Formats: sequence, C-alpha cells, structure tokens
Amino acid sequence: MKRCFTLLAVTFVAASCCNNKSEIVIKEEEAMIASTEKSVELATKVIEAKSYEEFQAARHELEAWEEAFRTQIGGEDYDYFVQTCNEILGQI
Amino acid sequence: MKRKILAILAYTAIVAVVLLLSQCEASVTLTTVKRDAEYINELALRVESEEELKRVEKLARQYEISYRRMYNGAKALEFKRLTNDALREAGYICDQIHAEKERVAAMRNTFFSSLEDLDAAWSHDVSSKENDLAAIQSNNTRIEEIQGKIAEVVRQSDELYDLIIEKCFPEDLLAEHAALKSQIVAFENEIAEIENSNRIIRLAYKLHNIEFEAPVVEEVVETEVTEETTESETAEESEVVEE
Repeated sequence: MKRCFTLLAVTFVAASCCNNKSEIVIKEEEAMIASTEKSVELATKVIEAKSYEEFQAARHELEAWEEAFRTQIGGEDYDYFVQTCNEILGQI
Repeated sequence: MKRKILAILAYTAIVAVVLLLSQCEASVTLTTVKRDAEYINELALRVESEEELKRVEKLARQYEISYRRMYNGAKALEFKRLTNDALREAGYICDQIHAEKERVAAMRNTFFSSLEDLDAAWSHDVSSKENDLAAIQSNNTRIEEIQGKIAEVVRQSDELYDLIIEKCFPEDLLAEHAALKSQIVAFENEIAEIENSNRIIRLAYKLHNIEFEAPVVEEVVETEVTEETTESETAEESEVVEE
C-alpha cells in the first residue's frame, strides 16, 4: 500500500513538473506589453541565431509564445505580436 | 380478401407515420407573427458563424412555410418582412467574421513560412559554392524559359479575347480563355517556387556569413517593347490616314 502511494506521488510530481515546463501563461492585463516586448525579443533572437541549434531553440520559443497568444489572448494583441514578428523575420 | 384489407391498412399506416414524421421535422410552433419574428431576430443577433446563420435561416424558412400553410400568404410575407433586415445583417456580420479569419490565416501563414524558410536555409549544405552557383544559374535559365512561355500564353489569351468580343462572348471560348489564364497562374507559381529556392540558397550563405554573389535573372522587357512597337505602328498608321 505504502509503495503504491509513493509511486503515485512520484508520478504526480513528475507529471506536474513536465506540465509546468512547457506552459506559458499570459495575464490579460499584461498582454499588450508582452506582445510588444516578446515579439521583438524572440523574433530578433531567431534572426540573430549563430547556429542551427540556437535557431531551433529560438524558433520553438517563438512558436510557443505565438500559440500562447493565440489561445489565451487573441484579438489585437495577438495580431500585433504576429505582425511585429513577420516584420522582423522579413528583414533577413 | 382479409389479407388485401390488412395490406392496404398497413400501407396506409406506414404512409401516415411517414407523413407525420416529416411534418414533425418541418413544423414549428406558431405564436404571433410579431413574436415569432422577434425570436428569429434575437437568434440572428447572436449569429457568429456560417453554420449558425444557416440554422437560423432554415428556422425562419420553416416559420414562413408554416404561416403560409396554416394561415395565408400575407402573414408569411409579413413574417419575412419583419425578419429580413436582421437576417441580412447577420449575413453581413458572418462575411466580416469570415474575412477576419482569412486575414489572420494569411498572417499566420507568413509567420510560419518565414520560419520554415529560415529552417531550410540553416539546413542547407554550404560546403560547395560552385554547385549552388550552378543550381542558381540553372534555376534562372528555367525562370527565363517560363517567362517566355508566359509571354506566349498572354499573347494567345489577348488574341482569344479579341475573338471573344467579336463573337459576343460564346461560352466555349470563355472557357478556353479561363484555361489560358489558369495556365499563366500555374507558370507564375512555378516561378515563385524556383525564386524561393534561390532565395533560400542565398539566405543560407548569409546566415553562415559566407560571401556569395549569385547571378540574378534579367528582367524581361518584352511586353514594353511590343507595346512601343504597337504604339509606333499606330502612329505610322494615323500618319498614313492623315495623308
């Protein structure tokens, strides 16, 4: 019984850790500032990558934020985020 | 005899059940024209997608048919008049929502294709500059060939259009003209694809900070030349007429 509970607890902790790692939470009141800052920061990181590995890491981060903005915020802030990214990515 | 009567009765029962079922499916509970119209208008106000709009329009049609069946054409027309504006407005909002969805999709498409292009450029092998220069050169030759083909199809299309006007827009010639137009679009798409592959090769060298000067396709000025010649020809013709 004890073993069973220990195993369950370990599984629960592992699952919650995995979940926290990939989750981006954007607060609605901070969405406008976040869309401005994050779009510039992440898209610049993508175009200024010095290696393929660096590029891939930056790309995944940018895509994760795009997904977060699309699913959690949407509307004008999401538009601004993607438009700014497109402008920066188009510069290269 | 008994069997015949039973068969007729069974058949009548089946027909009655089918009729009742179809009636149940199509029927709506009528109150007053004004109240029913208000109900439809309220639903129309809440429409946010094409599916919802279709559902409300179907319901409005069912009300209209029921009014026509149960009462008269005048009540059905009155119902239609009271709901028309709201349904039209809902249709307009639906169009706007659709256009907005398309705009966002195009924006997302640009976002992901930019990232895909960068990925392709990073993955491109930059060890052989000669091979890449040769690839770009061969791509440019292909682009020039396609541009030549486009000019030829445009010429054919223009000639065909003159014929279409002359023969008062016959359907077979219009279809032929549409086929030529789609051929042009296909050629243009092919050029865009080749240009993109050239762009990715250039981008790969840029990302790796390696100097790379690739040849560029020369602009085709054929259409301008033909326009100029036709202008000079018409000028000459007018001079002849004046003389």
